[in-house]
Amino acid sequence: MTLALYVLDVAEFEPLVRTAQGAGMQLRRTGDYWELSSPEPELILRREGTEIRTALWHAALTGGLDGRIVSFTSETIHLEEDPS
Amino acid sequence: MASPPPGTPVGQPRLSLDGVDHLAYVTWKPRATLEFYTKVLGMPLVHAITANGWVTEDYPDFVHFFFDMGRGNRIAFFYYFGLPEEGPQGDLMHRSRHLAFHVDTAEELLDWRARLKAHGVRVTTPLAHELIESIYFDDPNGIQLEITRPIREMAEIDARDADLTLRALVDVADSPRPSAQALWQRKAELIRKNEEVSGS
Repeated sequence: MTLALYVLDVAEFEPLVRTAQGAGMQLRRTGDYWELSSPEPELILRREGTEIRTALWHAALTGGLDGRIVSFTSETIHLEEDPS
Repeated sequence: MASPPPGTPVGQPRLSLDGVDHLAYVTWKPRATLEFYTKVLGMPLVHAITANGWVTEDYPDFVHFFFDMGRGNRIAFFYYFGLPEEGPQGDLMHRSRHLAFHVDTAEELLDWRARLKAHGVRVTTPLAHELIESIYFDDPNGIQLEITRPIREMAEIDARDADLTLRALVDVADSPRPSAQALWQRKAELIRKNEEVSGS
């Protein structure tokens, strides 16, 4: 089981990549995407202090998610490994 | 030879559509519509046709009039005589079914916002999305309009990403319980499959 998200390598998503790295996710390039994988089975990303705009925050998982969403609000994204 | 970009129709001769000729809506407020599109948005009135019914016997008499949106694209309205006015659509559909006009720069976006406000039009502050920044307002018919400027130009990487998103969407939309989470999970699978193919 893994917990990872994929972020398209375009300028507007750079703050998200930095935020995910700041939360302890590991960065690896795959094709057009950054694969950000979590060493822990559970992870919380926080928007406060990131300068990520609202529209972009709500599109944070648009690149793809390997895992499941525990909760996704305007301030936090709580993810965990998919138990299935 | 380079492969065609994602979403390109295959097996067809070179045949492509050349932009928007006109986009048509219905109005019950011809005076306000005329004033808004010509005076507020500065679009010339370029054509109008009036007719006694049309294809079917119960088709109401109408006026069909066109404004030039720029680049040769036109926005058109039907005014039907005697047609009862429809009630307003729900908020989600109002926001979704909108028409966005293009400007090139942030300065133009702010100038348009000032112009709309000067005409008494309620307009939002500029809202930055992923790769565009927009202002939103309504025309007199309640049609949501948007003026938008690019923050960056769309590139090939956006088209490749869109191709994966839509492949995931069509897979998920046919499932018993479609959801954004299921789409994001499916898209991650497709990205990993792409990696396996390119890495093998």
